[in-house]
Amino acid sequence: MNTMILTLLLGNVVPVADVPKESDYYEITTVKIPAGIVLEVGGIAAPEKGVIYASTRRGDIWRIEAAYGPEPEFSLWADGLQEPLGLLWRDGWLYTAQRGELSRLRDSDGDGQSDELETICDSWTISGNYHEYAFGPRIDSSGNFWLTLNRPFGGQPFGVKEWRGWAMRISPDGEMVPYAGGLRSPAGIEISPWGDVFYSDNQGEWCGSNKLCHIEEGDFFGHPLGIESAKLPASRMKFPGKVPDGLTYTEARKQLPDLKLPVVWFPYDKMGKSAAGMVWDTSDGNFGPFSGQLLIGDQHHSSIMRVDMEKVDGVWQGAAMRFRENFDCGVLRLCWGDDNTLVVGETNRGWGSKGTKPWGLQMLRWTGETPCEVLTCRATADGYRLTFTTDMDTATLADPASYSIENYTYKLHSPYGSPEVERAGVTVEETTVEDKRTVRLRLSGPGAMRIGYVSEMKLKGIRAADGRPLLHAEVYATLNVVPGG
Amino acid sequence: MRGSSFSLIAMLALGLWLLPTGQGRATVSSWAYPGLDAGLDAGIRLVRDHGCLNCHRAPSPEVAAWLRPLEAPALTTVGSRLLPSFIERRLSNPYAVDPQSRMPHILHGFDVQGGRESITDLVQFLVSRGGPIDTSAAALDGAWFKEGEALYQSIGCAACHEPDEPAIVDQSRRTTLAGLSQRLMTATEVHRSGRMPALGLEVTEAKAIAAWLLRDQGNGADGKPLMDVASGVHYEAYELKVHSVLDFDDHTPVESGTASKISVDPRTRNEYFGLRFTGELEIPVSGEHTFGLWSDDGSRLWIDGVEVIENDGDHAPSEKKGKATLEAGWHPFEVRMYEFGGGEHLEFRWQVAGSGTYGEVPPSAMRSVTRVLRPPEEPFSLDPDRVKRGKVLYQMLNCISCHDGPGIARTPLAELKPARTGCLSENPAIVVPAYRFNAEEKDAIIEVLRLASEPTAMPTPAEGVSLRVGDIGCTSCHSLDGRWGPDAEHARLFTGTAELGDEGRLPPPLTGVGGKLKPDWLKKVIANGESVRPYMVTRMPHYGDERAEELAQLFIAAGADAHDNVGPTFTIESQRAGHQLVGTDGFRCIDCHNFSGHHSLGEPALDLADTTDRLQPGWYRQYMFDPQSKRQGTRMPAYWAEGIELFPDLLGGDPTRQIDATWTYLSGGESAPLPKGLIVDRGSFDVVPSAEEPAMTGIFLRGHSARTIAVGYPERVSIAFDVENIRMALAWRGDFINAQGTWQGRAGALEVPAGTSVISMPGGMAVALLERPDAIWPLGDAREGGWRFKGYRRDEARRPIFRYQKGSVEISEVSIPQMTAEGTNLLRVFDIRGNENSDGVQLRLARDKTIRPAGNHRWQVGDQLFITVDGAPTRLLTVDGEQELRVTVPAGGATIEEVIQW
Repeated sequence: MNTMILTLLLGNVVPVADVPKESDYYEITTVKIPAGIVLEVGGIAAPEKGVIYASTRRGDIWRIEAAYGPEPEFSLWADGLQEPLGLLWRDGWLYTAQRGELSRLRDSDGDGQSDELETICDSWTISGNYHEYAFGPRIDSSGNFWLTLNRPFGGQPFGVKEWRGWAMRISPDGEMVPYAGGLRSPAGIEISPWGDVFYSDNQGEWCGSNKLCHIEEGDFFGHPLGIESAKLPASRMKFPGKVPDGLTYTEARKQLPDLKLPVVWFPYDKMGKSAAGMVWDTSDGNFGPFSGQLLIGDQHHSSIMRVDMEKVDGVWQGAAMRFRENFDCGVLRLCWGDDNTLVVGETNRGWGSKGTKPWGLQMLRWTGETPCEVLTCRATADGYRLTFTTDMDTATLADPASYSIENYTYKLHSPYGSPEVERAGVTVEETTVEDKRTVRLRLSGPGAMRIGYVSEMKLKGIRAADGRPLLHAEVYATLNVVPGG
Repeated sequence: MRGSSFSLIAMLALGLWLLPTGQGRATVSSWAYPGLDAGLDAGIRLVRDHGCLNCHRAPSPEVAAWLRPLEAPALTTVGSRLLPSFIERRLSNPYAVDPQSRMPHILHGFDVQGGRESITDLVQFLVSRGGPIDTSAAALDGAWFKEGEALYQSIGCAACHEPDEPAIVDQSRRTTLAGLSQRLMTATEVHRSGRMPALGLEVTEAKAIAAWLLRDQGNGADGKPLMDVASGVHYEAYELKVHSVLDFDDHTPVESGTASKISVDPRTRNEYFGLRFTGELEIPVSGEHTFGLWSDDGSRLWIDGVEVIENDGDHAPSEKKGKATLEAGWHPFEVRMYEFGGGEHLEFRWQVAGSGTYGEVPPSAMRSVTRVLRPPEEPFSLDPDRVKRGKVLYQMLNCISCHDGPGIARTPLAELKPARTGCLSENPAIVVPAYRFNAEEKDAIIEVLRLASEPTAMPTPAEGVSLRVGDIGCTSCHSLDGRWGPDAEHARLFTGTAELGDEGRLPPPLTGVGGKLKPDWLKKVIANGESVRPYMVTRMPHYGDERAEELAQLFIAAGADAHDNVGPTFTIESQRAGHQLVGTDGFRCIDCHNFSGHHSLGEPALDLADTTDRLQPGWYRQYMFDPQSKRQGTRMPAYWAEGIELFPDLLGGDPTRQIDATWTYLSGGESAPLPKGLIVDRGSFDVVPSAEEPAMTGIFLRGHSARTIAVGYPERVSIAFDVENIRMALAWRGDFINAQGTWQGRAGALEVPAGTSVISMPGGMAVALLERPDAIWPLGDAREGGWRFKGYRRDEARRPIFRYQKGSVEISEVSIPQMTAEGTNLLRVFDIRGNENSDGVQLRLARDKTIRPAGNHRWQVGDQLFITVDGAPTRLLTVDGEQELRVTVPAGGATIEEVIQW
């Protein structure tokens, strides 16, 4: 009855019972957290069978045994840390970024508790502003650690510190290289399976909407707060100069050659409101059809999003799609656990979330059923080529009326977030069905194939061969390079 | 009366300015206005703005509604707020004063002997209404101008005027400080159109804005500022609880005046106060000068707007110095200090370049400077005869039609000839109002006149909203139907809480506001600027009851269709469910929303206790289901996605009933029981060590670096180790720590030890490498001194052994509680390792006015503290009048044990 009421209220025309649900394909289970433990998850590591480590915003690391079973056992492994917002297991050590240092901890006597903490690097300083988070670390194939340092927010009564809003590469012996700047609130950082470094950023001032970015040496991501540090000798980023206030990112880049455009934009609220931690699907098909793609959490929406990426002329771009919603609390961290289980760490303290629990640890498993989804969305010289996870009703693929596409971009400016600007229509000029799972769209119109813009594609008319609609009918593709263009 | 005036009156009696009109083509209902889509908005705006219908009657109520004149300012007290010279210039030719004047040039052709006399009579009459204005000068210190500019830029003035240079022509020749202040306070009564509303200003705020707007009156004929210089400095005394002098800006001083020197003397109480001194400092010679602030607690010094000393934050009396290179001469400066609790002290000292002495800045080197605002004219005297004549002229010239109500009716609108004649002719006859319309504007007006005789419908409610919103200028701040609102340049001026993004600073959209807000609330908002968004700096203007009634009716008529506004039926079950849903066992609304004056757990979004007084229940239901449908871009979450059920145990999981339940609960307003989780039990953040092992907590601790670890031992003794400064900072007994400041919401609040008998270790690190054993102890940055924090191990009892290093010298430090019959002591063990050449390692274990030997390696430090040292010989040194207990560590290293008893 509830769903009926809801359906009436939301003006839905499809009977709810017939609509495929996310839970048909990906099942969420909840790790039972004992009363008295405040598990505001900042980082997760899953180094051993059956065991998960979770660091918390209160500064603890919990070791959870029998984590995948009905009766998990929690024990306090470390305390006294300062907001450790990431965990990484390597050679018997747990690495974590605290507010003020990159540390590693271990249990050297095997009694189930850490007894040693080594400070690897503390070459940045903090003032005490609550927003000076440090995220990470992740480790690259050369053994370097990667961190992102959040910008402070609101007043700075305790003074202004260097290197806020920077991505740092830290060598195994602790030397810090300020690698790229202009980040805002970079809550997720991850090294791709092929070794590139990516981070996620949160909408706000100087960040038009949530975004996923590829970090290369010297990149500038648009936020001017910490750019004075670029004048220091260690900086790998050139001082960008005055950041123009109010241009679109593509226009601004004409003045700021180092300004890096995102791999994908996540349109505000359509995808999420605060992008966070991410993992690549390295399950080789054991987690469903999306092997090789990026899964990325959203804190506010309490959801996981999906990104299909491609590299064209050395530049990454991609398409963002919704993947799984309705987690208990804001999704901050993702980590692969046993048997292709995706472990999801959650917190919403200080920020609201759709999920109404104050913290949580959940797991996501593929049910074995294949959802009908857009698998990939890749640019061509004159449009996009879309592939699907299942055989499709090719008549619906061929019908241009199945698609409606709009194109827009964002402004780089000082107000909080950017509206979608320079919105223009896109016409599906021609469809070419290559096979039962592939369609090519030739596009025209004022909004077609604009560099640095998002194509919002709604595929409402498309059906699978068995008549199912797409589980998620919207694709948000960001174009940075036109192949062969 | 003189002859010329008679002839003018004769001309006025003619009264025929325009001839009857011809036929129109379209109906008036196709007219538009800014906000409506197309058509004749320019013409309608001109006719409304210039009040044509004040003289030319409309043929029908419908046309009257479309062309309703914008009220001209009330002149009943005009003499009290404008300078006579300005009134005269304005009457002589309003366009010479302001090319954009909405008042036409009535008295063209009066620039003859008799005419000028008549103008003088009129000026006399107008000045007599409330005047003449007091033209004496006013003196203000610079803070008023700064404050006025800040208010002007932030509270909404600049949204309609221009941000940098107000588009008020020749402001400083119009009025006086008092006159303008008064007008800002009473703008709603004077400017009856609503286009210039009052902003609910305090008297001092109005004065500050007026001072800034009239700042040109502060310049003499030579263009240089008119200054009033006095000895002593200006001070402001605040009563506040802050931990930084930078936090004064949100507070208003409780007292101000002149002080002869910089000290804590002007304070109004001994705890929780702040002082701000401003003035000028005389630098005797050019060069680099040293300044010092000796204060308890924090202080800062700025010279020429540049910070020279930062001695901020809670601390015992201590001095910080700063250097500044300054030319000889007077320099503006500012000193601020605050006191949180305990003793208080403030001294301002200097050493002038080339001088050998360092001492207090003498009063003779400081002065206060105020700026004088002098209106540009002499006192004015009234002549009763002229006033009388002016009054007759005022009526004869039909000024009353616009300014006072019905005057002499002219040709009805429908009979006006749609041509460039009468008011619209190139050279209007004498006393026919002359307007500065360009050809396009004239055509637009003529088009409106042409259509005015056609039958037409009343404006629809939406059109009515557009017309009035356009008249008043609501869209300077608010968007409407996804459009209008401040442009990018003006949008920047709106400020508020950064944590709510644009929702925290931009006024809410007007779209559907008549369906959103309850009528009484809507009226309160429009009439008195009622606001539920205290974090928004921009203020909702006060438009007064009459206009509120009219506008509210329009908004309601335009938005009424939207919702079923029958509220839910009250049941106890529903009220209880709502109570749960709003709290932390439900949707957790209070994560972001304040409630009944209590701060939310996170962002400071608007207070929910007013919800049912403010909102229509139907709007509320839709908003709860789909917030984006009502407010695009809002951070308010949409809780229900397709097919999901929340809280199935509550009201059958039915979203409609659950939403109605929250409404039922919120209808209790401030008397509703508070939602669970809102009042945070501070005790729930107590960190309590177990009986077996210490607890460690990374915490924001007041007075220490943001990178501090507190360790609480089972023996009920605790320490704080400041990692950034590599030093044990504090030790205390009893309860360990409460981590609310670090663990609640977004955190960032500073905590103090929860226990008692807090002792501070001597400043700086406990270890130093010194070239001479009696060298001054280094207090600088540990990193710059070459030290590195290396981490910690935990011993068999899980006590942290902190490790740090400089070059080849490696140090471990652990604190171990020792229970004795006299109480619990703290054994502090330093393990110092270095190579053979590492001599010069020193420990400094105490510094006090008196340190006395107490036998057997034991020392008494001050009154309460005893230190026993084992492992190396101890030395007592006198440095700067205080004593220090130092240990020289043998080359190659040693283990030193220090027992602290207190």
